[in-house]
Amino acid sequence: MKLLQIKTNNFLAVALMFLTLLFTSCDLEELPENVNINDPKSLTELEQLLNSAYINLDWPLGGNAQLYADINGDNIEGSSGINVDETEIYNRSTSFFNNTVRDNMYRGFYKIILDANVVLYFLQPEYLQSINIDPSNPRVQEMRGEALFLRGYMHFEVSRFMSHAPGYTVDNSHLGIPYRKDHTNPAGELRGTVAENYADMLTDLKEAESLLGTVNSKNQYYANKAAVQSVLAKVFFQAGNSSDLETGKSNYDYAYDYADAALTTSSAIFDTNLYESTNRFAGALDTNDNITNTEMPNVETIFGIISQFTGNTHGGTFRRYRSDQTIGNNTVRLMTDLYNSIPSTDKRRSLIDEIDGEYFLNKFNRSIFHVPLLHYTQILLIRAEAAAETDNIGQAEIDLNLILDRAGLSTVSGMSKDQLIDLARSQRRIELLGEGNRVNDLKRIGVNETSLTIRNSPWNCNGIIFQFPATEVFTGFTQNPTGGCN
Amino acid sequence: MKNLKLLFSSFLLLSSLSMFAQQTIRGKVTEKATGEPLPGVSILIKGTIKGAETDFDGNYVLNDVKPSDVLVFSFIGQKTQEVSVGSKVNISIQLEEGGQILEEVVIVGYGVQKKSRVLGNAVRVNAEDIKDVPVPSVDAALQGKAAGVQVIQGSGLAGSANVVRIRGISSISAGGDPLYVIDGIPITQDYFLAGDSNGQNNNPLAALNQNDIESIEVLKDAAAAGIYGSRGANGVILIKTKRGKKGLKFSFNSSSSFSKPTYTPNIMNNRQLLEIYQEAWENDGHTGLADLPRDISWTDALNTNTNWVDLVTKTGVSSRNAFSVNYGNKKLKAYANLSYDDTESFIVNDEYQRISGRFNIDYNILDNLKVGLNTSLSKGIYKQVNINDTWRNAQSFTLPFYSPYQANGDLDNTFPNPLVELQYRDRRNEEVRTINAISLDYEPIKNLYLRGTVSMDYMDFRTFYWESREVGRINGVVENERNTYASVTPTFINNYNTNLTASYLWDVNDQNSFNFLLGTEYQRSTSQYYKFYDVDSNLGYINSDAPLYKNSEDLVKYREYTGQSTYSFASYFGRVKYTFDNKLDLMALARVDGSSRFGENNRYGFFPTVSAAYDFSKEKFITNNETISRLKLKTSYGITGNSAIGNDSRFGAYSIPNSGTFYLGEQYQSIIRLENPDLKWETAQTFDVGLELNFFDDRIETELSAYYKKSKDVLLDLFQVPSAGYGERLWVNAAEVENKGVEFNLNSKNIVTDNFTWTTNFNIAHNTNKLVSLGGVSPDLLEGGFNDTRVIEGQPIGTNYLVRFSRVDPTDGLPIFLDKEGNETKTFDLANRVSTGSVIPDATGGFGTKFKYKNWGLDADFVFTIGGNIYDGFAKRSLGTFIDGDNSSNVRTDIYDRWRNPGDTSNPRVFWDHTQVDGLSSVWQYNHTGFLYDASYLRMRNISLKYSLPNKFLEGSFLNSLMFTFSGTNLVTWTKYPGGDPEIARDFQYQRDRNLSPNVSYLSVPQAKTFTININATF
Repeated sequence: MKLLQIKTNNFLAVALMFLTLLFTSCDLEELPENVNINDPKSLTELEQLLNSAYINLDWPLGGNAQLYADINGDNIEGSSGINVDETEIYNRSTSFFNNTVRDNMYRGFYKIILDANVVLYFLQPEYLQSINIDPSNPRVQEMRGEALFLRGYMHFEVSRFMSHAPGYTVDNSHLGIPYRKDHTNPAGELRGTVAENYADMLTDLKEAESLLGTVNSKNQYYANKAAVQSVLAKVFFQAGNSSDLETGKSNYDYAYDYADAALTTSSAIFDTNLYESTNRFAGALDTNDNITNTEMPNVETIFGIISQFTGNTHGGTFRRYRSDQTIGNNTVRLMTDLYNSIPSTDKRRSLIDEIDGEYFLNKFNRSIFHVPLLHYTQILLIRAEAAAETDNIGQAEIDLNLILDRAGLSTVSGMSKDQLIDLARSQRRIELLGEGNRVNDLKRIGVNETSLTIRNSPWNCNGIIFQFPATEVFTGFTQNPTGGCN
Repeated sequence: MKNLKLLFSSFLLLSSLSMFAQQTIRGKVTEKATGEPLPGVSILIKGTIKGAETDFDGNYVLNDVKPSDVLVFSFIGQKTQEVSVGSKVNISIQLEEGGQILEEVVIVGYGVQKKSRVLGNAVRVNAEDIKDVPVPSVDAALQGKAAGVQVIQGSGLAGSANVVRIRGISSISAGGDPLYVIDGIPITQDYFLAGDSNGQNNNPLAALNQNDIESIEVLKDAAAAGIYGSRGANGVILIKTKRGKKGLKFSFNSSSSFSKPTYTPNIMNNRQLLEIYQEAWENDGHTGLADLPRDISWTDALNTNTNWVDLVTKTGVSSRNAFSVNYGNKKLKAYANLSYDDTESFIVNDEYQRISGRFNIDYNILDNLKVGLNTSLSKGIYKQVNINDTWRNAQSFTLPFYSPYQANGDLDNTFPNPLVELQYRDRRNEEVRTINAISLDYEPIKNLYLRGTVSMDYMDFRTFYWESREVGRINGVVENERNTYASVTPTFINNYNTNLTASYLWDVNDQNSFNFLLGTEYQRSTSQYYKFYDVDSNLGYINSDAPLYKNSEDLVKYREYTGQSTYSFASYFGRVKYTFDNKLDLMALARVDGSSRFGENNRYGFFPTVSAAYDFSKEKFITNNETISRLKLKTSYGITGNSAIGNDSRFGAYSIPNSGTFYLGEQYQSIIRLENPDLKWETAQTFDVGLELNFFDDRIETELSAYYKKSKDVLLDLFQVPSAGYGERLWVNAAEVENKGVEFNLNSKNIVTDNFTWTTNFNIAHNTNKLVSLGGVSPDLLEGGFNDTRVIEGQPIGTNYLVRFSRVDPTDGLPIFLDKEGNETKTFDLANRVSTGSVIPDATGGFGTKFKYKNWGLDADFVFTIGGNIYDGFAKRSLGTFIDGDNSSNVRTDIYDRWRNPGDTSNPRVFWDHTQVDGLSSVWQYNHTGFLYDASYLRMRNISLKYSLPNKFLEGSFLNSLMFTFSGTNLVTWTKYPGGDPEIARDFQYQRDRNLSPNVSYLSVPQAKTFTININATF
């Protein structure tokens, strides 16, 4: 009997234990270790999110976009030195299918836009108040300006690859790109028209202009008012030959105004010694070809990508041009006629090396770069050409003579409007060589000179703009048409 | 699980103490043909579930038997015998071979059941079928054995993983592999531990020694797999390791194998290839001699003929040795095994070495309390080569007129030279794995069985890589800037599992009985991963000790990344089974599964199953029927899930701003993905009917099943639209997939005499698969990976999506394609891709035959696949279409059948440059149906000849038995596929690839053709 008693007790104990175990509930919260799952809780974290957009500039604009734009244009001899994907760009037959370099660049632009949108989302007053930040904090306003600037600027850059330039249709009703303003939508969005895209860019950029000061309060190399004005100048300049984006003034008028404002506002200066001792892209390097902490980007820089430590460098794709290393299957070659178009007295001819009958750009003969995305010469040339376009002959002459003089060429005077425009265009081609500028100039010029060709293909042929990556296309999304360029 | 069965038996003995006049019966069971004792024979009192089992010497004791009882002796492969007890106290009998196998006890989830009473669709493979023929991975033993279980063996590479698909494919992005449960533990099963490195994915069963396997069971339908809830949707594979039995027995097994590839590339030698080059050159309108790649001169090319395939392949020599001890007395039963395997594949430098030990012990503390312990420890060292750099390049980009060496004697590293990989790089994976479990079985009151198990599956997996600075040797001098590089990528996975079950048997009366099960399980698995590397100008590292990780000072010196990831499951389950008169079985079960992987709004899922079976065998119309000896109908309906998704996918996430990189001196963090609180398992609803029909006294057994499986909320791992900016993929529950199929199994005992038996088996399964809906997602968002298959609504999963090739234009030899509307066009445009073939076969199956004559045995097993397609992803190059300058590839000899002169209508002409085909922007996009082949094949998987030394030779020696087996694997294959081995498991990049693209080949490594001699001795 006693034995049985013990057994019963045992059983009850076991049963109790069992039932306890059986119905013990678990919260099953296994938090990931190597990511942060919390929304930003401080201004510092918001700044970290914004800083992501800046560092990501290197992704598309650390040389990739510039190189692909030039491959797309008439500066580069593409029969060798470029890979399979780039050859598609060269042949102006990018396929929607698996063009890795195109996909990567495209995604890079939108990654920056995403970063900007995340910041803009958390900078809304309601959210700021919930984490005890005063929405009227000046830094908050400045950050909002920076995010809007980056959003507008990146949309402008990516649209130049994916849609025909303003003026391709009279009212710019041709298709542009998806203009993304909301990071909470992971799904695809339809393409706006180019008119809509440019209106969106102008809205973002103008608000950014109003929010940003002459110098960024956090760091002088973050965006400031002059950077926004430079992009606004580029936007209006790109639309120079198109119908007016805004009422009141012509696009060239606005381009002139914003270029002029940028040059005035910015602390950047014209580097008269550019072709003597310094280099616009590399700043000064130490003896080991490294950028050190103390060395500053070139004085012309209005806004750019800054390399700071040897382990944290940017602009690597420009190395593809290097003529001072073994010339290989991926060293980019220049067109012979480009070289021949530069007079032998021109100091800039020394930017090009001839090796075994092929031509290479030595402008990027560095391991590490500061990448001036918006710089004095670039905006100066916009002002010069826009001035000529708007019959401000005097200013055009002054600006162009600065360029000519620096290049060791004789200055000009008494030229006609058209002569000045042509001069400005030819200077743009040489001054901005390797910076992805030329093809966009040609697409702008073609609006008026409709028979213009780029490497024997019409300036507005289908394949001159890229196909959207296959992953972007969904039911209802219009892909760019192919062909027509060869 | 076996323990449970023993428990049942002991319970039976105890429970009948208080009954009528009873007696104890003893006896011995031997095999009639050999006179050898038969261990493990089941002795049941007829009409009850009470009984006993013979020990190693064939002896048994059965208490509490009434004189009116009838004892039923049954054993796998032997005829069942019935003996009336009467007044006997000693009943010794001889069992005759050839009996029915229905009384086999099979494992079901969280328990065991008699096979005749199993409601679900489960297939079992026993140790007998596994031990003699070495397989690369133990689940390969299932191939061709079970209808509806498609096993695509990993390639001939040592230690490669199989692809197992049960009843078609219902998952797209989430893992489509079945859940592997070893001795009750859902093991760590990560095929992508080392990515797609070196031509294959990680094999979760690599640590398992095939000699340790007692049985492998495949649970196919909801009735069988339903108890595994959110992880049962793609079937479950239960692997049981051997446990101790009564007696003392030693066993030694040793084998040696030699392997060659089943397919040797038919590629050209230098002169043949140069001829093709010249022809392509002239076809494109060039004159003179063709420009050869790398500016090689024609004289050099004509005088250099390197057989690269010979340089990277060899005869693989393997050996396997295992020694095991079995010991059992009344209280203690133990099984121990030590084994060492060294497997070389036919690829040079590809070798898998494994040492493994296992110790399983059961101890009866009290009559009603038993403790069991399983422990296994293994270390595998897998020396690998990069398959791209050797096997693939040797038959493609490394041309026969390249010489391996430069004039100065250095290896030529100016082209993809396989010898550079073989000599200057070293790759190795090391896996230390231990799987341990302690279980306690307790029977506090009659008929109530409690069982608790705690287990741990620990894996230490390290990938090593070395690259010598010699790789960069130029003109006889090593580049100054070049360093030797070494890295180690360790992953530590701790997988804990505890479960607790209570089962209660309630025999209401002779006719009605219930079986209840209630249980809970908790699992938590944590992976920690790191990568360390070092560079050094010394020549040290190659083949030297691992870098960095050994030296604690260096530990963080070059740490590339580190991370940790965890998942947990908490589950509650129950099962009720009712049996009426041994005829009708009804079962209902349900599992509630919660997982840390599921989003906040779907933390727990409910997975119920109901099933019923009726056995007509005892009905008059069967018992009176001369032909039909058994007829059983069964059906089930259930809901199961698949939760093989990323551990952290549900979380919205930002990067942590501490990775050591800054911009303008400031840290940054970046959004990675948005939160998905709705993320959950995918759900499969399965309806199943089955008919078991036996003829001629069970000499012929058949089983026919049909199923319909609808999967909803199928997980998609989407590329995000690039303009959304998110780089990372996004998991969503979106798609709907339908699988339906029929399966047929036939076993027959054609001849059964004392000296000679002949048995055959056959199975075939047909599955149709359809993607019902993608839930509005663009198929392009699922693209990626190497393979050109995709998901298209209304089509099978894994449809080939290709431009259609129509014919050759006889006037110029150019290819003519079809556009989307079916009109002929000479322009190649990817917009004209259509869904054409399917990687899923119409039918798969196998058949086998076994002859046994006295001490000789001859077994042969065949596997087959009917229908479906193989896409040869490299044919665009190897069928010689384009030379394309420096990237030119060698070509296959099939190209001899090509257009050469106007009027020829065979294959297209050869091209020097891809731009000759209008619209083709890159040769890599030249995917068309011309390279799509019929995937049907028939393969003699295995043939083996066995000889057991007759007892008279062994008498007086210490040996109990000695058996020799000679076997050949993959000796013959019949296929129409010209591009290689038709059984393709390549280096998949993602789970989706494993699911969608098994039959897309890209110079895939073929299976091995292996000869093996095996010796097995027991004493």
